[in-house]
Formats: sequence, structure tokens, C-alpha cells
Amino acid sequence: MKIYSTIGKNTWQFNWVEKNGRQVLVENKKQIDFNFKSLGNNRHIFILNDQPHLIHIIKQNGIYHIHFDGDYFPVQVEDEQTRELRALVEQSSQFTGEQKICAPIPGLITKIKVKEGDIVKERDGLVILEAMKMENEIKSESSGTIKQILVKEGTPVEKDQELIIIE
Amino acid sequence: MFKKVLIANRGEIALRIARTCRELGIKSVAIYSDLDLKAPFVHFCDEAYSLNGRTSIETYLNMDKIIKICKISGVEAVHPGYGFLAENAEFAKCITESGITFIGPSAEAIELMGNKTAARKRMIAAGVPVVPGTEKAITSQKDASNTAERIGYPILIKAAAGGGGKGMRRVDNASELRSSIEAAQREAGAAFGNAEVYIEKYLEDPRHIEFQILADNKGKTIHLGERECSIQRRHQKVIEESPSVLLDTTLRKQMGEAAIKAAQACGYVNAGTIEFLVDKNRNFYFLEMNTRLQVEHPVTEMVTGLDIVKDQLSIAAGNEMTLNKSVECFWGHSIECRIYAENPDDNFSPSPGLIHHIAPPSGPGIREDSGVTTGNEISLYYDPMISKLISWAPTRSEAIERMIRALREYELQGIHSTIPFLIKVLQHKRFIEGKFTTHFIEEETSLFEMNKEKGKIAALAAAIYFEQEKNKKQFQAGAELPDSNWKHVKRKKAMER
Repeated sequence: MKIYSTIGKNTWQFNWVEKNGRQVLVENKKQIDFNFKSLGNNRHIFILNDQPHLIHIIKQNGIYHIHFDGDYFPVQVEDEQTRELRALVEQSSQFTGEQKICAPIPGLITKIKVKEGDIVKERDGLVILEAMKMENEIKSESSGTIKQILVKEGTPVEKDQELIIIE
Repeated sequence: MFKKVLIANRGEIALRIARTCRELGIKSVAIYSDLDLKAPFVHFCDEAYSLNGRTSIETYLNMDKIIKICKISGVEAVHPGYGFLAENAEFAKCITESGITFIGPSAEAIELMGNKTAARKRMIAAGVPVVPGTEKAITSQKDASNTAERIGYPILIKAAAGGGGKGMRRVDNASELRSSIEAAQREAGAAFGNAEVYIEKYLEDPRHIEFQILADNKGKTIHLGERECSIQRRHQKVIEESPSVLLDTTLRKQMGEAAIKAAQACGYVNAGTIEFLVDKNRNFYFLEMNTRLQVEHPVTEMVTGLDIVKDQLSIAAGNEMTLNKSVECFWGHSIECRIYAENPDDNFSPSPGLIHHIAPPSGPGIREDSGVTTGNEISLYYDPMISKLISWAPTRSEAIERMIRALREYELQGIHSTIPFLIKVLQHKRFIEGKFTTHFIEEETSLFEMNKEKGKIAALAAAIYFEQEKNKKQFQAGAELPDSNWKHVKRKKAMER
């Protein structure tokens, strides 16, 4: 079975193959020599080509968050079916002409600088979002009309929560 | 010495202060918000009182509640830590008027140095060099644009009551001036309750170097050498070290003398820090004075062998300092890394959340000042700093290597942290050679590149974990296999025909 691990723009392809009744991991036709065991508490000992690594893995929202050796990688793992399915969904979803402005970070809406019906240009300031005492201005990514404002001043928002819809 | 001290703060600094109190046989009193009940500083202290609330305003900034607890607990002194009420002159005054000792300078000195424009004026009078700019707060847009034209762009807009980069904006040309002033005023108003801002010339290629001051109320003022804090992002310090590679004996002597002069000019008593900017021609300018214990004080402690909190307590108790002269020779080299709950790959956006597991490093020459433990939550209500990691070694290069070793050892799950980013800074050629300015982080885009070799190891581990997870699921579900995704693919394809 083919398996794809993606970090940002990098994708690695591996293959699980049955050999002598056991599943072995193969990359470019070469078998990968490893030992992998859970230590509990999301910690794993991973010995790869005789080199040991202490790997922390937490799965959240379908992403494998991997911390090891002072580094961090969010990894997306897909088997062949899921990958193909996702490609199809992405192809068929059509651009609606609507732009949704979402909160890039969790925080508090301290000021809304536009009203519904306002016409905005690219890079116009829309909302002031305060997080950990710093003000962040959220700007429009394109020109258009403010169709709907989904939040009020003084309300806390989650990361990726929709704030404003621009048409 | 005092018998009982209240710590008007939270997190790592509350624990830091409580530790010294215990070593000195002083009882420590913690105050805590609803969110901090599980924090280590609460159970470390000898007494702990609830502030009943979540926001800073309801809790650590609430003077009435804090003074009431001082009276109930019967403390003789209050240590304010840094942030919150540490540089609030009214708080110092209220504490003193309640017959309790404020561990820090007088309310007058806090007020003077807290108002950056008043401080500039006093420094000019005392003959301490300052950065060119306005003497008073900006009163109108016209006033602002006149000053900006006179000193020349780029300029910096800064909060008169400010600190920590809040309410600070760089302006490169006249068209950005109005909106930048407005934003700085709003930010300053929200953070400090004072929306006044002023203008300073923006120095090219500056380095941030500060001097630790100690002054007792017997008229003795000394310095404990410098800390270099040029590695900053968004004007907030990320890595600090002592001594600085930039200073030689002559410049250290000059700056140290200026720092003592600055402290004396405001009648300063207790521990404080004079911040300077040093430009590319090695000219130095007074930036501001922090009238409190600094976040980065541990690096000074490591190279001087002192406990600054102990000195603070002793000075506040009215004792004469035992040190007779400034420290100009250091024992080895020390570096501090601030570990923040932020995602460096997403423009350092805050990453609040639950700490599933934390295991700080140890071993030779490593000190960790942390305020959290497994099961604690980094909330949006307070500062996102998780901990401070401090390394010590005989030389700078060994201190760097030791710090990288320790950061690689640091185990932290559940939230993003700046650990991967800090390692990249410490491994950078310019950092190792000591050739950096306060713009280092914005200039070096390579600090945000992924290490592909390590990425592949993570990719493999995830692939193995994925397979194990699937096998476990199948095992649990017995013979029952989940609905095949192929069915959906086929249906989708059929619909497209």
C-alpha cells in the first residue's frame, strides 16, 4: 500500500509491502530498517538505520504533530485512496467569488473598521484583532463589497473563525 | 530582613522570587487568578490567596484586591516582579502608604522613568546621551509631521508610558504617519491606560545593550555589567547574553559610568536596568530605564555569581550593599533563550492551549526558570512565555553549543513553541560570529526554512504511526471493515460522466 507524508510543500512517498507474512516499509524499492515503539504519553522510540530518535506524536484535526530533537513538523499522512479522493474534491470545488476573512490567530475583536455594504480595496484594514496585548490589523486580500460582518466588537474569536465575507 | 513577602505576580517570575525567599527563610505569599490555580508558583509559596477572576484587570492589575490581601496575610513587603504593576507608581505609593515596603524604587523614580519623555529630559540634563526626537508627547498630527521632517525618516513612534514593544511603530515615510500614530495610541491606551506617544529617530543597524544597576539607600550605586539583547522580534527580546561581544573594556567603562549617572539622576534605589542603543559607529544612546527586575536578569546572575532578588530584598530591608564596586570582570559566559508559546512558522502567532507533557532539559551548566508544568494551560489572557532556558559555560562558543544541546533535549507537547526557531538562530553564522543587530530576525529568512533531513524522519515516523493506528483500529473492529473510500471515488467519477 502506498502512503504519502506531506510537510508543507514536501511530500515523501513510502510503500507498505508484505514480505514473509510481515509488513515492511519500502522507499524507492529499498527496505527501510527501523524499530518503533510507544513509550506512553505520546512518546515513541524510533530507531532508524541504527540511529535513535525520541519522537512525540500528537494527532489533532487529522494532522500528526511531530516534535523531536528540538524541531517540529506538522505531517499530513494519506493512503492512496484518500489522496485521490481529496484531489477530486479540490478539482470540483468551484471558486464562488466570495472571500472569507478568517481570524489568523485567536484573540479579541477590538475594532471593526468597516460596515456592511462598504466597498474595500486590497490591503484595506478591516478588523483590529488583539491577542496577547498586541494589536493586529486584518486586511482585505482583494477588492470588493462587504457582504456580511459575522462578529461584534469586544467579542473573543477562535483561530480560523470567519469574521467578514467580501463579495 | 523581612519575615513575610507577598509576590504580586504570576508564572515563572513569581516562582523565581519565591525560591529566593525560601532560601532566605522568608515566608512567601502568592496571589492567583482562577486560571492559575494549578500553576507551580501557587503551590510553591507558603500561603496562596485567590484573586477571584480571569482577566488581568480583575486580578494581577487589581490594586484594591492585592492591598487587601497584603493586610489579611500580614506581609511586611511586596515584590512586584516584572510586568503587571511592577512599574506602576500609584501601586508603589499605595503599598508604601499602607505601611508596607515596596521592593523596588520610590514611586517618584518609577513615575519619572515610566514617562519616557520626562526621562529623556532628565537624562539630557544629566549629560547622558539620548536618541534625537521629541521632548514632549505628540499633541497634533502637524506637530508630529514637523518633528519627523526635522529629524528625517525613518522614525519610531513610541508609547510615553510604554515598554516591551507595545505601542511602538516604525514609520518610513510621511504617508504612513497618521495611521501609525493612531495605531500606536490605541495600543498604548489599551496596554498602559495612557495613549500618549512620542517620536524618536530610528537608528540604523542598532544593537540593544543594557546595564544592570544596583543602588542602596545609603547612597551607593553600582552596575553589574551588561546584557546584550539585540536578538528581538517585534521589538521583544528573544535571546539575551552576558557579556556582550561588542563591548571592550573602554566602552564598557564609558557605558557603565553613563548608566550609573542615569540611575543617580532619578535618585534610584534597588535593582534597575538602563537600556542603551549602540549604533554602527559604537555611539551609545540612553533608550529607557526599567525600574524593576528584568526578565533576563539570570544571565547577569550566572556570570557574577549573585542572586539579584536576594540583593533586592536586602536593599529594600534597608541594608547596605556588601558589594563596593561595579562588576567589570565576568565569570564565563551566559545565554538566555525565551521560550514562547508561539508558532514561528506562522509569523509568531500565539499558540495557546494545554501542555500535554513538558520535560525541561538539565545537565551541566543549564538553568531553567519556568512557570508551568504538565497539565497547565497557556491562556490568551497573559504573556505567552513558557519558560526561560539559561546556559552557562567558560566561553561564548561553549555556551552556545550547550544551549543548542539543551534546546534539543527540551520535551514539549500540545502547543507550538519557539524552540525550533531558537536553535536556528543559535546555529546561524552571524550569531556565532557576533555580527548581528536588532534587525537580525527580519533579515535572515533562512531562520524559517525547514530542515529537510529531519523532516523526512518525521515523515517516516508519521507513516509508521499511521499504519499502527490503522492496524489497531482493524483489530478492535474485528472483521468489520469500514466503508471503503473507493466507493465514493467511483460515485464521484460516475457523476462526472
